[in-house]
Amino acid sequence: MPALLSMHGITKIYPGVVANDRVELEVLEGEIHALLGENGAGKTTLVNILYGLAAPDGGSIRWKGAPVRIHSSAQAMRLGIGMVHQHFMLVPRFTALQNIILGAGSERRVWLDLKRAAQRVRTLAEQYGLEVNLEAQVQDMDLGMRQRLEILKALYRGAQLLILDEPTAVLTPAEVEALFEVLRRLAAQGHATIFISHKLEEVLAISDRITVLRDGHNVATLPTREASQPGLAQLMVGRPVVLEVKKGPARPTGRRVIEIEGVSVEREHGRDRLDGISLHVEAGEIVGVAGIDGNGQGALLEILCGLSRPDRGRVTLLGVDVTDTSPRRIAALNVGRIPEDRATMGLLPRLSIKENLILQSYARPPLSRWGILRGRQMGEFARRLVAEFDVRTPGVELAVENLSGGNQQKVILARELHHDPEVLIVANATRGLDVGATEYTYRRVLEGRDRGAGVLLISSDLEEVLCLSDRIAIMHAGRIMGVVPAEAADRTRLGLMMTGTPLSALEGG
Amino acid sequence: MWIALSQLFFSIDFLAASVRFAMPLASAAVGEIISERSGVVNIGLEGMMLAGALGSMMGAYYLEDPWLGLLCGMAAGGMVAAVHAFVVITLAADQVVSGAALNIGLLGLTNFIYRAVYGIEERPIVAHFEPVAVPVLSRIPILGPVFFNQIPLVYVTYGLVIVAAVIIVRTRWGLELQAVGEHPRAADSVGLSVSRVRYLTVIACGLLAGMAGTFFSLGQLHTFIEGMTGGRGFIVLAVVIVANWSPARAALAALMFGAAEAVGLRIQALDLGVPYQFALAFPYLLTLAVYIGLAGRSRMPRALGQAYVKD
Amino acid sequence: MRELLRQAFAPRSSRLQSVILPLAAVLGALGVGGVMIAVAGFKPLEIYASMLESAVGTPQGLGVSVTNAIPLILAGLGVALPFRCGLLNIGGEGQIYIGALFATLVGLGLHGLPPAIHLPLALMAGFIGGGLWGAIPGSLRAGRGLSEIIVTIMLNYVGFWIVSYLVHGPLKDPESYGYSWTMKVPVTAQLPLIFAEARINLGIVVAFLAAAVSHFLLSHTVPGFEMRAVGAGAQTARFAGIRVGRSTVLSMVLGGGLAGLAGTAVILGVQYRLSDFFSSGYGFTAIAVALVGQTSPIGVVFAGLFFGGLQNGVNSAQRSLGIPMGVALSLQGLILLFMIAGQSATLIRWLRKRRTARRVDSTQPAVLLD
Repeated sequence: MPALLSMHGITKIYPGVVANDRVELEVLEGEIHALLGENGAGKTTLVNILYGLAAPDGGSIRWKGAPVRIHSSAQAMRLGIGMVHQHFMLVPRFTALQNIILGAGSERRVWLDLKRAAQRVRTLAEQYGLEVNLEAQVQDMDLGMRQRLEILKALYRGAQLLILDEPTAVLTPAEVEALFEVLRRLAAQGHATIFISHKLEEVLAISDRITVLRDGHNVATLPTREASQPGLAQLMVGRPVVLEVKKGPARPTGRRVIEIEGVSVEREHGRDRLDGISLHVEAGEIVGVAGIDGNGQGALLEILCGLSRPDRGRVTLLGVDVTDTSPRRIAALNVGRIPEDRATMGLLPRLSIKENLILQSYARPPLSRWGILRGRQMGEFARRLVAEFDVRTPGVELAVENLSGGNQQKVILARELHHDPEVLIVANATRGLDVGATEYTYRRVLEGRDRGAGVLLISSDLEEVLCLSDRIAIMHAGRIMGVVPAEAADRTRLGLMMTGTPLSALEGG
Repeated sequence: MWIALSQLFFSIDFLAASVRFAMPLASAAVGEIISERSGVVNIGLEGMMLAGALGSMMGAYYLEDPWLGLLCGMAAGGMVAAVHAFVVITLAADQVVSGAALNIGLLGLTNFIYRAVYGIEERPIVAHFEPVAVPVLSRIPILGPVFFNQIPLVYVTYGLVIVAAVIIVRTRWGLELQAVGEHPRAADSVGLSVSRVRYLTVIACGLLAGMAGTFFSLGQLHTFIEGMTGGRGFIVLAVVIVANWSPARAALAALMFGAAEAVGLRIQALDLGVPYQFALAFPYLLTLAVYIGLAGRSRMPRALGQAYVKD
Repeated sequence: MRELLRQAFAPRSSRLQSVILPLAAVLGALGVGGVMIAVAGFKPLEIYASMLESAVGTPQGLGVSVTNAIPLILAGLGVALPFRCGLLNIGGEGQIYIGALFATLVGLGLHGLPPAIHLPLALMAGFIGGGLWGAIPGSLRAGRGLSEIIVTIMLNYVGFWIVSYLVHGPLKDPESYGYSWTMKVPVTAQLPLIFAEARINLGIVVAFLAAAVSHFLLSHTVPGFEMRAVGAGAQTARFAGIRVGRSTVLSMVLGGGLAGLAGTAVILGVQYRLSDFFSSGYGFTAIAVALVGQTSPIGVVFAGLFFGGLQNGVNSAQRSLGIPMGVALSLQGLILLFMIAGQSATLIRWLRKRRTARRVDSTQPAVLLD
């Protein structure tokens, strides 16, 4: 049986990096084909080329046996290739139906025929088991429904090959199972799926064949039944080791540096509501907050940083009540914050490294006196930090936006950690970083803890939380489902809690 | 004095004048709404309206017909808009500064061209629009003479508002336009060309702004005077925000500002002892007050003002 | 690693770029303008040569150029400062008029003071007047997120009409017959001439001082740093504890004050009376001045001098050679357009793509690709 899709010798070069180096990929009809690799392996580049979002510098593509050159997503869709991106491409103010029909008019019809479209969509939804509320606005939907919507969108346009880019990142374990059901139904009806992931368990559970990429080139293609977790891990990384950080035992002093008591936030749009959260962090320990993105972590973070106020409850940092206060007051406390969005919350991209480094301490001596900044002290300060935190840069006057992601992270770490904070709040800090930068961040965070700081680590990456935390709290729908010590944590229980089963139910039996 | 005031507000003349002053604002507002809902803001409206005023005046001068003049005026506005579109879409430069540059440049350019062609002689009076009474409708008591005894351009604008509202809500184009303004990446990912949509909307805005400008040169004054749009292009920007980006509401808001202008003139005419400067400043004060009080930004297009650059 | 050129008005870009770009923009505009002039039936090169001659060829000409530059530099600073804080101050015109009004009131209102006191008081009054007019949009933006663009434009008209009313009415000089202007401000409040032959007044010193102070403020003080941080990333700045609202209002008050000083300088240095229509669009030319000067105070000085000379040259050419009015504004608009086009990141990327991409080993890219 000829392959549905065949990509041969695909090469793509960006300035400074070879994203794809003569990559091969073959997908058959009715197959679920996993594309596996670490961050930076070249998976997304490859499918971007397939979907017309990028043009290859070399190689060829054959679709249903015939050679094609894909210039645009519109063309890809016409061929029958659909894509569900990692970050959903949905217009928030539109309804589900509006999003589905956007740009999908086959004939050049001017008038919108919502009734007929809705009919077609409902038929499709039933056929594949995709439950979506057509009248709801996307901004009110949870992530699981948004994903189903994206899949419906692709199917509505007649996709025969569906590309899913890291689809399970935003799903609870139960939703993952539901997604797999849909994929199996698709396969049974002749559709093919490219399933991009770096999560070995899921790849093994759902796929028929696996192609592994590393550093832009093929490493192996094999049937799933012949694959194993350690084997795949080795193929992905090139060495038989997974990220390992030496973590000594915690030594909590009993002094509570972060106290969150009964905090609640009402929000219109459903996501980011908080419902009576209570949590505390002691000096000398790391408390990890795990949970699927969008279950209130964002709201919690905003309150801890003083960017918003809770409707009920109290927050205390280092003994100071900060419930009703401004970011300015919190910044004045000895708190270090590593934010999740480097560009918009952590750094001022157009300003220099030096100016970013002084962001926490510019208002006090020695960096300023009577409102006047002291240039020489600022320069010395910056150079010292750059050396201490190993930031690779030709100089401190360089604009921060010119640094690599890892080095930008180091600037943030340097700024927040150098004054030995007693409290550290870390949120999704390693998103988008490569292995080296991630390891470095972990090391620094652990160092902070060992020096006696209390660390609150919020992350949607369960591995990260398991790796670093001494105690783990699970958030779901704005509530804490339970707090377990790290040694007693196992993925199944955590998974259940992330879906909404409180710890008490699990332990009560 | 109260008699004078009530005469002010209940006279047909006043209401008709309000409509007359409002329509250029409404026309440009519809154009600006189309552009802004697709994500591009057009500070340069004032310049486009001026270009329209001059273009239509010269068109009417040479071609001796006001409708042909209108076409020339619209074309002039469209050309300016094309420049703006190129600078902010293709070159992805800052939309606000580009608009400001066009305003400044066009104020100079229209002066320059007018003087170069007509010198400092007496201003030519050109073929213009006269009020036309709509057969049946103009006989309705009060509403008739106010709304249906105006220059034809006014009727065109009525239709424009309705057509625009329908297009935005009920057609495919309207949906695509809104998508481009809310989330250009999503629109791009379903195969819409963000650039193309924006080019079309910006140029459409220019055409309509050109028509708005024509109101001045071929409707009210029958000639061209330097800077004759007098800052109304800026009032339109406020109108769009106050109207929450809806064409129907923009028409209402435009009526309100048109009335403000008419009030200003009346105050002078009635010689109530109010200095004329206050009368002239009144529309701007009103705009400011309304903007501060009513700025309903709930429906501001999310991607407004941001250039969309594909990587 | 090569520095990437970025679309930014921050003077972090290389020295070369900050001089070449404005130069190229001006040349481009002159080119297009030349075509315009030719089409109107004149010889562009002849016109340009005459403009150059009038602008810098004689001491008197140079003096006029510099005198023109005074309000442009000040108003240009009034645009540049808020710009560094992320706001576009199009309200220069209104701030100029209100500033001039306040200065005139102090000038006319106080008697018997020595110049060493009267003049600085009048200048301060001008600054305060403009500052107030800038505080309105600033606080509306800081407090309620209202666009400073709309508010400032409306205030331009309101400010103008206030001055117009006063000048035609309560403040009118009873002996002025046909003209509408105030009485002459006493000598003690006037800006004296410092170069008699060229007729340059002390205002130029005020302008230079203002530029120096602005530069110092932005680069070396805490409030200046905070303003720049807000302009570079308001969210991050807030996160770091900077009071964004306060910096916003401060930048608009300072910007408005500087524009107010511009109006003051014209009244106290040239006209000695307040009239309406004294500002020939300084508030808008200031935008071009600020951008051509790359929003750095030093750059604004040079840009202001350039535009002052340009204005002078154009006016002379209009008078003596008869080219139609509107050339100056057209050129300004063109220069602005060329400036932002030249800084367009897309353009820069397109130019870079035309060089072959080379393989660079192991330098981590700024954006991680998957």
